[in-house]
Amino acid sequence: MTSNDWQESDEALLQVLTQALHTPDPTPASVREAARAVYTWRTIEAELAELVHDSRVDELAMAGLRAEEADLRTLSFESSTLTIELGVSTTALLGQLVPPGPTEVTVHREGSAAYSVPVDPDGTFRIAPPPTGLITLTCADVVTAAFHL
Amino acid sequence: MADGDPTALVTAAAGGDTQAWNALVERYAPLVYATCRRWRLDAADAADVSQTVWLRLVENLPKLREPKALPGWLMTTAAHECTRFYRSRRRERPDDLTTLLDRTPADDTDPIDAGLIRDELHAAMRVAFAELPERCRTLFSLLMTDPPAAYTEISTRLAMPCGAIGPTRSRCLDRLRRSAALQTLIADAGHAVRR
Repeated sequence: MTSNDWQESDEALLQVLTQALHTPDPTPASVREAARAVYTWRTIEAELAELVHDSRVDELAMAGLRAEEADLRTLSFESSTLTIELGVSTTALLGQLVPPGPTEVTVHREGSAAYSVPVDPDGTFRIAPPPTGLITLTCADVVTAAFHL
Repeated sequence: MADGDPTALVTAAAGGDTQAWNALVERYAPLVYATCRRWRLDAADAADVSQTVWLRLVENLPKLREPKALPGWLMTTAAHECTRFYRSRRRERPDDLTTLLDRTPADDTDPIDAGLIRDELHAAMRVAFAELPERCRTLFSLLMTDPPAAYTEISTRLAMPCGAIGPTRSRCLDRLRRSAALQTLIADAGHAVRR
């Protein structure tokens, strides 16, 4: 196999470059459209709350856990000022803001209009039925990293 | 955008310039998609994971420390999101473990894999080319015509003595090879071989 010759030889590199520039790009147009569209998800003033825990990913990283042993998925997001804990069941998405304060949470979902749900004085909120697909939650000036439900 | 360095585009996009964002997408979306495909995602899954990668970029635009290294960041993030994708799939279909545990990036001993690897290499080459200074791009375009342009013509077009064309060509090729996209590819391939 000589496919990596371009790493050493100038002639091979120029040859691969020529092939690359003469080969039609196989990327579907919808992939570019989706990538352009996510720019509108950007919230300039909001601080990003990073995903610090996702039971679906973290627990599977440890071998042996079966699906039925983890039917409630939990996620945690953290920014410098706010922690957002989520529990996902089949009927609702339950959330807890720490510390409490913001009075509503806005749900952004791919391909549909944003909507808000109230947060009670203890910082808990409930979104039923749970949203599906790629979503973000915005609470006051904090926005979660996008996640799949 | 005349010069290929993505720094200006990243800064503008972080500042709210939609056109700069679209220009980034135009240039780099094929590389993200090809990387997902090389991780053996089918077309629909690769499209989904690509979108997640672009969302990660939206989230991280203001704090991207080395905008110049953007292609490397995108490829690494794509690999990371592909791994996450397989883990979450395992959760949904635990019976499918044997097939899913198999999921690793393509290697070039298989003909289908070889196609995926070639597509990613081509996507990385196009990115590396787009990031070159205009002078290098013009020179390569002239050299890539069939038949290649005569040195005298190149000399006129680039306002450069004939004797300087050879050294410029080799400097530009070196620059191409040292691009973030191709270096990430080389580093990743080295990693796969050692595994």
